[in-house]
Amino acid sequence: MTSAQEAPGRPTTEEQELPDYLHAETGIRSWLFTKDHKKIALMFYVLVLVFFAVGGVYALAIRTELLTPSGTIMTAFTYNRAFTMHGVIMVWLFLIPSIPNVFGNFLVPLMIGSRDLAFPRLNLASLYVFAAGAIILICTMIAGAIDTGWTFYPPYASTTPTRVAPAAFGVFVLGISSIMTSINFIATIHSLRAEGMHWHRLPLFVWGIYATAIVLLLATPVLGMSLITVALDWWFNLGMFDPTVGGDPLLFEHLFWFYSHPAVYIMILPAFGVISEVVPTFARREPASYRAIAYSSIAIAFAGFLTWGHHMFVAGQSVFDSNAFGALSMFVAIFSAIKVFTWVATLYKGSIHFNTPMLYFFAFLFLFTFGGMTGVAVATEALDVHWTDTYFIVAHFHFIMVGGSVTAFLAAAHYWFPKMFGRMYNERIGLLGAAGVFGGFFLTFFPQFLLGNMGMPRRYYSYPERFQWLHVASTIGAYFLALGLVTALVNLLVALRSGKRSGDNPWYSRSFEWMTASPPPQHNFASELLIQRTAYDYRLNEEEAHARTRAP
Amino acid sequence: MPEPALHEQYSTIAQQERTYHLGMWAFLASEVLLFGTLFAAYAYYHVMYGHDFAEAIKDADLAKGTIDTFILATSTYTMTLSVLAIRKDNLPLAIAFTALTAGLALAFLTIEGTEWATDIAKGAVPGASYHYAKLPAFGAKMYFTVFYFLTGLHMFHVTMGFFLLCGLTVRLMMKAYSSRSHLPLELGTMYWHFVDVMWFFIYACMYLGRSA
Repeated sequence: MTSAQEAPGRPTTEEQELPDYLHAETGIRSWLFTKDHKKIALMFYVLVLVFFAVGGVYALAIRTELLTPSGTIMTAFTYNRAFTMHGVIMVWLFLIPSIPNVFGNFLVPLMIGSRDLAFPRLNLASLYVFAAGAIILICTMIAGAIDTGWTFYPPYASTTPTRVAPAAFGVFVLGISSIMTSINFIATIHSLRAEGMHWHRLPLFVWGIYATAIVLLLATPVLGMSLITVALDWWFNLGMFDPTVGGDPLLFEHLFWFYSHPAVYIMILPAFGVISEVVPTFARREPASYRAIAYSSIAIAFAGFLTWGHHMFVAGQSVFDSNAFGALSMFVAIFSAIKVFTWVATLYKGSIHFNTPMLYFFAFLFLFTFGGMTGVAVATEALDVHWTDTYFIVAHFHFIMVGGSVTAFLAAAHYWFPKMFGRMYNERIGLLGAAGVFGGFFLTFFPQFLLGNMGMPRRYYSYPERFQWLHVASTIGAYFLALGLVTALVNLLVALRSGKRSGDNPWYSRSFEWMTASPPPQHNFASELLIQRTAYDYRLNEEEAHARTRAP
Repeated sequence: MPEPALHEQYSTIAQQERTYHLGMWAFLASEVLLFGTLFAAYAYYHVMYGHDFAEAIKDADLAKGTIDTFILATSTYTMTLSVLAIRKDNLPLAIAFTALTAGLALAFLTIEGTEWATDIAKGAVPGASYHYAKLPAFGAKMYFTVFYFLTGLHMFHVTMGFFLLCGLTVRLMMKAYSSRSHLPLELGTMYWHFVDVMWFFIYACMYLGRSA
């Protein structure tokens, strides 16, 4: 375990003389009208955690309902709304914005050596637009929510009595926030890198955010238009997907999944970026192949646009299409596998430290690989015919989204906690939280693979008795997972108030965000930077690392 | 003579202006995908309904569509002239060309509006209320549904562009721009060019694709 004591000969950074970003300006106006990317990141942090909790409550409601084969605590109509809102909130109010808008916003300028993002006011606007979209969705929730599933399929979505148009519009507004964020990241990473920061000296997290931004930019507009179309179908009988006037519901599926498949890469690419920072730091080693990780991110961003039809194997598309999409879906998995092998290879001859972020990496490694392999399995059309629309699919995507993205989010929350707040959390409680999350997650979702394979359909309110024991196991797991998450959250909240001062670089990382004070001053770096090393040069000691970051 | 203000995260004005240009290109890329969704719907239904869809294309008012194309093409030219004028510090000419562009935008909207009115009057409305007896087939119905949506989205962008052009004209009249500092004019012109190019594709798809 690394202690937070200062290493001998540790250089004093010039930034330590300046007030940190939390204290440079105070008062509510300094937050609501800020241009500081770090404060904006923290405001996003609060919002995404709140929505994660709301989505989690819906999850617990669903799992509690499924304790018995028929009605337990709600009607079927309410159940449909519960799983719909769970999906909508988790996807658009948590998973998509979480790592990019919190950790991307906070860290990208620090990692590239810049004073802020390219467009700080656009950044603040993206926060307000996000909040507006969230408010629209909350109002829709209070007014009775929707029961279409997060996928909004017509013809049901065009004819349900629930309020599709406001919900779709809320998601549309959130999409605008995403596009604003992506423009900012792309412009920033191209233009504001410090002197000497060639593309191949960038921390890998930045490559991950860059790849994510490309997908956000190009995929989100398609979602926007698809949802507006289904909203107009619902509201004004536009008829774009209405078979009685010649429309085709399958067109919606094509347009929706053209976005929503790349969307899952929006959710996982930043997670990969986080892992690519955690592993070198806690193995005290440069990545086994920097280019493998960097380029595979870009490859995923592009290849991810070619696979949407694997959501439609039994929807009525041609056999040729299904075959092509199946093959392409397996192809894109190669790039994730490249990353997994590279991270594991990075551990070889490293000096491994088992701090909480690294524990989350090990959880990620197992759960993401497991989920990824089941992904290749369901990409096999002949197998998916059996598994589609069952719990097998539900388990697959939760292994990736929770076992992958949420685990990486928690790794990031612990890894960069000292960076953001200058304090250290309690490692023992961190271990407890990580164990609770991992164990709770596995107990929740592994039974769902079995359920799905046995034929339990997804989104079903009632089920045959023989499935009950697996559902009960899954529900117990869900409560454990909730407990683990709450433990992790409380640990961090307590540390905010009374954690030990961490010092500037408690993990002895070489990455550039650690070369300034923790927490950083308002303008990130007090002097000009001249980057003369990679972000992972662990052959250098800390003094040399600092020297090769600053201009002489 | 206005000079550009350097924001703190940039080291030179050139870097700042390049970055804003890049941001604008990124935004326009997202807009291409936005319209692309509807072009995909167009292609889907055109292929699905073949002959019936093409019959509806033949029924479209080619004269109005062509006039619209000339109006927008001219407007994109006048906007370019405005930027060329401000680069030579010719404020009166820049104001005139920007205002002219705004006027042409309004003309476009008016003509499109009359076309919509004619279509609605003859019963070609989207959805279940469609009652255009001359073209009763599904293919025609879907043509009109796509037509209203695509041209409607485009008109929304033209309207936003119109307000932008008015704003730029006002700023020019307030002498806010000069040859050394006129970034919003350049970015606004990029947006206007995009709106024009989108129309060329809409024109081709909705008015010209006449043989099934």
